[in-house]
Amino acid sequence: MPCGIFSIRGSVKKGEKHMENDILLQVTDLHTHFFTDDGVVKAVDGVNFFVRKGRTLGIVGESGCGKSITALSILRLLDHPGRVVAGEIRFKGEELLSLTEKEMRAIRGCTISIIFQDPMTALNPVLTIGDQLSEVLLVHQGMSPHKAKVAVIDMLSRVGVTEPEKRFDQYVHVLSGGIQQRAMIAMALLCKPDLLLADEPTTALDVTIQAQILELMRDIQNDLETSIVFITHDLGVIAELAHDIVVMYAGKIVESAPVRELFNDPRHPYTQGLLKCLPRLDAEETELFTIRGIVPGPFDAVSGCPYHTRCRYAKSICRERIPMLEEVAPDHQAACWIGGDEYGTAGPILSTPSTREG
Amino acid sequence: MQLFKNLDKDTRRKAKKLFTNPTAILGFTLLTVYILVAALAPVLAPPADPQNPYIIPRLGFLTEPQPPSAETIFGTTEGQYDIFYAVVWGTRTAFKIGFLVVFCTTLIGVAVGSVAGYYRGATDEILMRITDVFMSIPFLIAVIVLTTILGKGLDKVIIALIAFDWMDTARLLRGNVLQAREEEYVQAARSLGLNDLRIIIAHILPNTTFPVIIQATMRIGTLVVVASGLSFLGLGAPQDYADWGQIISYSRNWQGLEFWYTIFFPALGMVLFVLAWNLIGDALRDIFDPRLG
Repeated sequence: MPCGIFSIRGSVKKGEKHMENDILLQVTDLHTHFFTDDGVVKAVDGVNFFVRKGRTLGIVGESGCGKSITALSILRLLDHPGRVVAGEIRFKGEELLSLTEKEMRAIRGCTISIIFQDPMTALNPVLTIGDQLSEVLLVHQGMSPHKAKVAVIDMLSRVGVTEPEKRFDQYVHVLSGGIQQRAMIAMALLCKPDLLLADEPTTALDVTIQAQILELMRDIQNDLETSIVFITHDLGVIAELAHDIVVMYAGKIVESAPVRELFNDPRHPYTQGLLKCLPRLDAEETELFTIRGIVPGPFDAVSGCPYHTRCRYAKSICRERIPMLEEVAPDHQAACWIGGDEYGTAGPILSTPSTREG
Repeated sequence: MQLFKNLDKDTRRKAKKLFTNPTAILGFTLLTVYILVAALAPVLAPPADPQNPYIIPRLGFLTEPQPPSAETIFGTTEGQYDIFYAVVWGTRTAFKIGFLVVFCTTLIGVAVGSVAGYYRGATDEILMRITDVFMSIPFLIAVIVLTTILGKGLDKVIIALIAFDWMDTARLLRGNVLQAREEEYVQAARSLGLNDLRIIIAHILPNTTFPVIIQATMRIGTLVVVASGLSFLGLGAPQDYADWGQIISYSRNWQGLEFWYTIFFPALGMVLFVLAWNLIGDALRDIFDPRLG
């Protein structure tokens, strides 16, 4: 496996300091809880990862596993009753959680920006595309409206919006989904951010547009050397774009590895399940694999490993103790008792990964 | 319509609907007449003293009202005040009161409502309880009492009306803002690093103020009637000031249909004025409120 070319990793390895100045964003032990009337929901429960400069980190998981909340926590955009209760978010050496709201505003949309899933709802229906995009430059760079217009039109054409001068004066609802998402991306890139958080940016689009947007994001990364955190539930999308992947389940990271390593040698039963769910052109099965059961609800107290209720290999220890992320191969961590040292040899499926190629 | 050529299709369709809607046409026609009367007041009824045009001229000191004649086409009241002059210049008074009160109350209501709705929690509680206190006092009594305390005069009436007529707007807007703040574009605006004030003014208000504008349109008419009522009671405009309520108060001593003109013309002015604003408000709501289709 030529793992060496994928030089970034998704999770923090203790004692590794030599590449530190290469790290743009480091999230350590992040806990985000929602204090609802019915009790506390641990949406993000002890998450560690880092993003290197100019690289893409993919965060994969089912709905409700805490992916989007992680992104919102980084930008501190959580609304009541959500709150980051513990952890560190270091961005360019600065602790974001200790900044004032004003300092945070200077970062949002400027050095860290975010792209949302549905551009139709994320763009204001009563403002023109031009008004909304220019606003970023007026606020962050104090540009004159005239200069901002030039910059916005330039950025729109860079992200492949056709007839940018015309689009500048149009409203969201007259644009196609692809153009809307390109406009969103243009808005996020106007200040040339160091970090781009992409929260399922292709989910609301059809497949051909999806491919174009992914292509665009790759080009952006090459041009601007922007780091990207790409959040998705779609492993097919992440395989194309990410250098490195963390898999989340019920607010925790269950596995993290460089992209090729993860696809070739998934260690956590959940990751294996997700990969098996993908349709394959070369497979003979006529029915797709499904992971039985559902993600535990926010108020379900699951003891031990959160995945044990759905895991085919669950043993008694899985129900009793929470597995920690441990190194299972170079640059590759998984949180699973079955693959862990305690039981010596791993389960049969784990030692012969089902998706290994050739 | 050439005028709307550069607007987008939807706005153009709505504008067209507005200008072909019979209710709207009637409302706007009436309003245009009032605007013309107010604008042309110095021509229609030239003031004797251009420095104080609101002083109603007297044609004599006879107690009994005089019927319409060539000289005074609407007749005169007791004490020979010219009704035509009062109705014409009263239009200006009506516009002044209506616009000023509605403008100020809308401003207060929008400020209170948007802050309460946007920040929610304790801020919302405090502002809404204050609103409740103001709402718990009967409107007319509150206005009468406050005017009495402040003293006689149109400016005092305006202040009293402003103080007790902003609550509906605040409540209406708060509800809309509560809803709009959950929209994804608000979160997107926050993610761009905009401050709260900018988010409220540039992103939330354009999406929430339309019902407020409709409500404000309808309130103009009602407020003018209330102000006239206060003048009628002797709390508003001074004795010989051109105001519809004031001129009607001169007919308090005269019963029967013999002196119909002392009530009919000022009342007609008032009724059609209220009607014009209500028709416009109705038409705007029919066309722009999505909930009514």
